[in-house]
Amino acid sequence: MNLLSALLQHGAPVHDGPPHVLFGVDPLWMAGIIFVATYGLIMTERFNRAVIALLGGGLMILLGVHTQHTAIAGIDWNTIGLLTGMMIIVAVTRRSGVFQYLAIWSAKKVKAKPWGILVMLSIVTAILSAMLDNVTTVLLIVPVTLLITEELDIPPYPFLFAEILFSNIGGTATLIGDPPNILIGSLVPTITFNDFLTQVAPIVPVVFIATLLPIYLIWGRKMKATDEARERVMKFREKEAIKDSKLLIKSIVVLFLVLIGFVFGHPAGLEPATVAMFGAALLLLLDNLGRDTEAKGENVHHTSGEVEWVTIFFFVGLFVIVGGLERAGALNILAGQVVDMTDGMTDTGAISSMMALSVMWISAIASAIVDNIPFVATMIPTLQEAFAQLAERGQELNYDEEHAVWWALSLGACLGGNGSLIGASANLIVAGFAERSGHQIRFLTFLKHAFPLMLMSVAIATVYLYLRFLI
Amino acid sequence: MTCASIMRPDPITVRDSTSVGDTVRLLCDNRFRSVPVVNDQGDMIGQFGVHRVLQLAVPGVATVDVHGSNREFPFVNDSMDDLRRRLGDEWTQPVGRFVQNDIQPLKPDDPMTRVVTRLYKTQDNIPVIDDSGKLVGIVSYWDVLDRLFDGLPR
Repeated sequence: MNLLSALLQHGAPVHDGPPHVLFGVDPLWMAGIIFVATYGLIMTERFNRAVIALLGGGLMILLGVHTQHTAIAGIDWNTIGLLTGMMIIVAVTRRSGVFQYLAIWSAKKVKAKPWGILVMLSIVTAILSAMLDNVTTVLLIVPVTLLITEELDIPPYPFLFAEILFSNIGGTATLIGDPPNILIGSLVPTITFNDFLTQVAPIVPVVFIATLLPIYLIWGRKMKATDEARERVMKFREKEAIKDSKLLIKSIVVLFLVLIGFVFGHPAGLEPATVAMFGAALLLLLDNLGRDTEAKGENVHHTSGEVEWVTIFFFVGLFVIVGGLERAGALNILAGQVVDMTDGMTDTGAISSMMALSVMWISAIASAIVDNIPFVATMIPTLQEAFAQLAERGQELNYDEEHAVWWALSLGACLGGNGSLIGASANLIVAGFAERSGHQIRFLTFLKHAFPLMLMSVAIATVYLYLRFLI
Repeated sequence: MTCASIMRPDPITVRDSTSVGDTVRLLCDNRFRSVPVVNDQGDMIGQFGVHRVLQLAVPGVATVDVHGSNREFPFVNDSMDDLRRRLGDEWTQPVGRFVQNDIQPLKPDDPMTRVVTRLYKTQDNIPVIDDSGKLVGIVSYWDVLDRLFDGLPR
């Protein structure tokens, strides 16, 4: 029942039965048109993606594919809570200056030698990206990088290029590191934080080293800075970067507790959103101790403003749109086509291998071209439906076989984001920052360097997936 | 009272091909906050002032703001020589490369409230252009303060 007819019935309870689309149009067509139009507009990047996603979600309700009740039920609050909670924790923690401290400390550890700095900043970027979201990580690291390269009087491009790649590679390692992983970890009930650590993370250092090697051959071996320039960096006083040492301690304690919560919480029934939101509230409480009432209010208000609400609303809109597709039966059809590809296969291991390898490479290529978040948001329910259809025809994949497909989606979507400048949000943020600083990163130049490295990383991931899960 | 009654007509300008160094000297010698920069045709292309000079002396990234990124670098331990070096790197460059070109000039017939409000917001001299786009004067907040001072008890 659509909203208009519900209104006509003066607030009669809205039931959740099958969709009754306006003008008698087939709900499948209606949902499909809204989906294609929304995703098409998101791809053009001419409008804010959150606005388009919310409009698409709203149309799903207004045109009767969804009721408001089913639309809200389709929103995954575990994802929303996890994202919001981590954004609050990062917003408070960054004020302590710890991230700048880390970047400067690591640069000085290698005596301000350009290649050493690139390696160290790449490691810091990868580790931070595994714990924080990639956009936040690059926003913290890129300004320091530009400062260092300016002081060393060397081109920043190789450094920024490496940080883009390693933010996406590092983010692949954990459930909270990259939006595709957050979606997979939140929407697939059998996948836990530890599963990512034990089954996806081990390949990340290999991909890291393999990616670093060509960067060395192309740029690293020629990097030089004068002793005078290096001395300027060595003069940086990293301790001065710590603006609030009490806040630093509070932040580290809460971050540690949150990570413990992610690792050990699942068996106790604690979902990541609960852990992240509780950690966020605890850190806000600690951060406000000793302030007067008015300052507390202002501080909480300011911190809340630093949450990337645009991203949160983007996710909300996407969930409603994908839920609409699901409700209209479109994902059943898509899943049916996935299952049809396995016709003639009797062995579930072979089915799993075929699905995993297809999913990984399709995800990688798609993620290099379009935003990987909507892609993964659509793929998850489609694959879940495909698994259900396989089970119905007596070819139920076991735990490991199913998980291999999920890891393929994770690795493909996260690593695929490195394929082009528009492949992931962090890439665009770095490019925007570089341009504002007078160091434009050209789309084709980046593509020429990044796409082959992306293919190499996905090839490594394919070998890993095959050897570890598919034979 | 309008902007025309308070502005200084025929202001000192510099050509866009003038070096940064010569322009900075002009600012310092006259204690100008900023000076209009004109092209070969005499059209104003922007202003160059002490704010820009300071910007050239600090690390470039410290003046860039993207998505609320942290622009403060308390750990940078610059000496006066370091600041001089950065400014010195641009010393012989044409000033036209560094003009602030997003300024909104005043019109001669703008009312005083608008003039004062704009001075309050920009915290800089404001050029005055006529309807043909020609630079006809400049208003500084000293001009306004002098007039205000004239009408108040000494």
